[in-house]
Amino acid sequence: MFNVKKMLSVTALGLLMMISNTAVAVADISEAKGPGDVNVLLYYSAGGAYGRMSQNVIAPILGDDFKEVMNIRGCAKMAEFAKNTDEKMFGLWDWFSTNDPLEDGSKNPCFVEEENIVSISHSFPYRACFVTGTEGRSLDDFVNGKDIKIGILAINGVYKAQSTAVVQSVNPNAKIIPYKGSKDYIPGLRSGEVDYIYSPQMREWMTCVASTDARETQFTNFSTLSDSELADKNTYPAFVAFNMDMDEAFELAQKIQQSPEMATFLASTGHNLPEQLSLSRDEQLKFMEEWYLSIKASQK
Amino acid sequence: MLEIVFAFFMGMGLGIISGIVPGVNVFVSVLLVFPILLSWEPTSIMFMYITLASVHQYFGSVSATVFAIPGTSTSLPALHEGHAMFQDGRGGQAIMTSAIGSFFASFFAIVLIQIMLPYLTVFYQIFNTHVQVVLLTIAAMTIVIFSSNKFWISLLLWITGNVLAMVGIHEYYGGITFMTFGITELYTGIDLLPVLIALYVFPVFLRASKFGGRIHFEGVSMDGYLKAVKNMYTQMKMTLLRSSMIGAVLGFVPGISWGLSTLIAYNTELGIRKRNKLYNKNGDVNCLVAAESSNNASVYTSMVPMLFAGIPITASTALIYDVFVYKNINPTLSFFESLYGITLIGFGISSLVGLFIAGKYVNFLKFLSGVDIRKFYIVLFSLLVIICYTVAQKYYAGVENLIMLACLMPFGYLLRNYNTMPLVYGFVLQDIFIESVYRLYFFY
Repeated sequence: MFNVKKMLSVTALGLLMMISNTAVAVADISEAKGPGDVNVLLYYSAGGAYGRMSQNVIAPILGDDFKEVMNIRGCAKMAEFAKNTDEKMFGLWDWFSTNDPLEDGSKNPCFVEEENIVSISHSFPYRACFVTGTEGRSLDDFVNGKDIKIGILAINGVYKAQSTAVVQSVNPNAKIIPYKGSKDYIPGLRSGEVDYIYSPQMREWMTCVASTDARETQFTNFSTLSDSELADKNTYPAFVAFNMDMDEAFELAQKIQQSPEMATFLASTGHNLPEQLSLSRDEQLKFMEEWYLSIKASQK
Repeated sequence: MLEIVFAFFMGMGLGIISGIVPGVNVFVSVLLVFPILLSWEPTSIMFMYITLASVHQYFGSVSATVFAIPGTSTSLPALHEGHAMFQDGRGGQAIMTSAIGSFFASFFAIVLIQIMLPYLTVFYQIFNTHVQVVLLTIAAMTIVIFSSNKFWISLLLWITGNVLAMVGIHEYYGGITFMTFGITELYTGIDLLPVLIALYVFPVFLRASKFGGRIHFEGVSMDGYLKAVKNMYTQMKMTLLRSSMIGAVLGFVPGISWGLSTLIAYNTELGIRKRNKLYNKNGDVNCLVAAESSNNASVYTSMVPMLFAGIPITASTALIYDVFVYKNINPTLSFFESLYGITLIGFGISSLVGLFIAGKYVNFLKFLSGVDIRKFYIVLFSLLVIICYTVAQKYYAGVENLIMLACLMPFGYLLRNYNTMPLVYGFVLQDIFIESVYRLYFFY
């Protein structure tokens, strides 16, 4: 028999689930929409550092030009979308890793052309750190210690090659342990399975003794400990733009870098503004290319 | 004060939604309100988070038991036993026993944290890659051995799960490509939701629909809760203590804390029950309690490293940590101690209110009694398909999720007579397992 009460209950429950689901689907950072025509591209997890920078720094600085944050899963799909759309797209890109060929030598599906790279967005330096108060740990031990274990950030081959080149040139006897991310190597350091980390992240309970960023004068610069070309180089993500005038995009990049929002973001992540801020776009692109070639050369 | 009240209601609302809707876990919920959290005091942030995590567990448990909808992969063991009990007409008992077990385990974990506060650094040892590899191996072996399938079938399912999880480009291993066939959508791998729905939920529905019949669901009652407490006190003391302890300790394992502790506690109980020939194939209440208790205990302990040492070991605690750092707060032991009181209050209030509202929701679902089981699963499956699309559509991946679901469903049909939990866990744990083993290689 047709049961009205049951039908209503089923409808109410179905609606509750649908509304909840739809609310979640449209919420998140993509919820914020503006009147403009520039989309902020994001292929990373919305909760990560790049996601927060896209949402809390780039989107507000765009002001009336902001349209929406387009969070597309994966750099390959984002690259394909950005290359085929007529929409204006601006955002962060890990160009050095996404342009790296795959293991079989084929072209990386996330590859972006140089014409789409606007400038360096920010830089993150690497620091040698250990757990404060651990006996025997010091800069001297990092450089000369036998059989010490050093954890490095190795999200992909480029990160791994850059870190390995510097650490090996500083201490050829050290054992290098590659970690996929900070969620792994920070606990690794804390547990004592590695003696040091060579990474961008710092914590209250760590003592850091050396840095790749010469502007961090509180630390010894790695270039004084190593003859590697990469010892005084940070890692340099880029701003990219599609369907935008590059002069306009470069101006936008500079506006973002000079904003208080960017300063707050950098302070919360331990990243820095790039030291190449005063360079022109062409000069920045040249620097990036040389830096990338240095990493590739270190792999040979 | 107003902020804390708002935080509480927000945590309740998000906990209910994330508990009901699959694919919306605690991480996604925190992400939704991330910008708001940036302007809040730490006490309000923690109050919201505790409420969210606590309420999420109660509602997630109801969804798993009644609808066989897995909120996350960690609810699979609870779903396996709880939904079987629901099909057996013991859904009310499953929900009430789970709720009491969850409450006890959460309280156990909070008290344990307080007692262990001066010695918490001992738990840093669990952050060790060697320990992780051992635990993951135990988890893999036990799920293959104790699953209700023949050993070699479970092993094959486990391997299949691993193979599915390997699809995509693996940057960490130098850009290795596996089974992408040049399809852009496959470069980032296969999403968990289509795998869960096609290869776990779909076979469960098919098995249940085979015999037809009508749903019998009695809901929950105060008497029922009291009876559950008495029953647990007399017959499940060891189960509760064992699984709460496993959950509390393994909650510290980075990256996989909730999922791994739930699986190991469940498999431990399953092994004991099978050895003593006590295991109920139509839904075992002890195994259900083991899974739910360890899950809840680990939720609380997984927050600890983030709160007193700035070491987030789950995705959601990483987000909360980012909020603290954004506000120039460096988590230390004294910071953690200052938040302990609010954690306890948040846990107490949210547990009671969560239990009450979940109870009301459960009793609302009593209308399902008498509904034709086949129609019930058809409606549920249609809903899951819509959810599979809309959740992924946030990342413009709705259509590819549906295509993947359609591709996997024939395999789900073929596997309808097997317990596919080894496959799903093979899929979920593959990344961290291979990564840990790979990293271990560099130590030698």
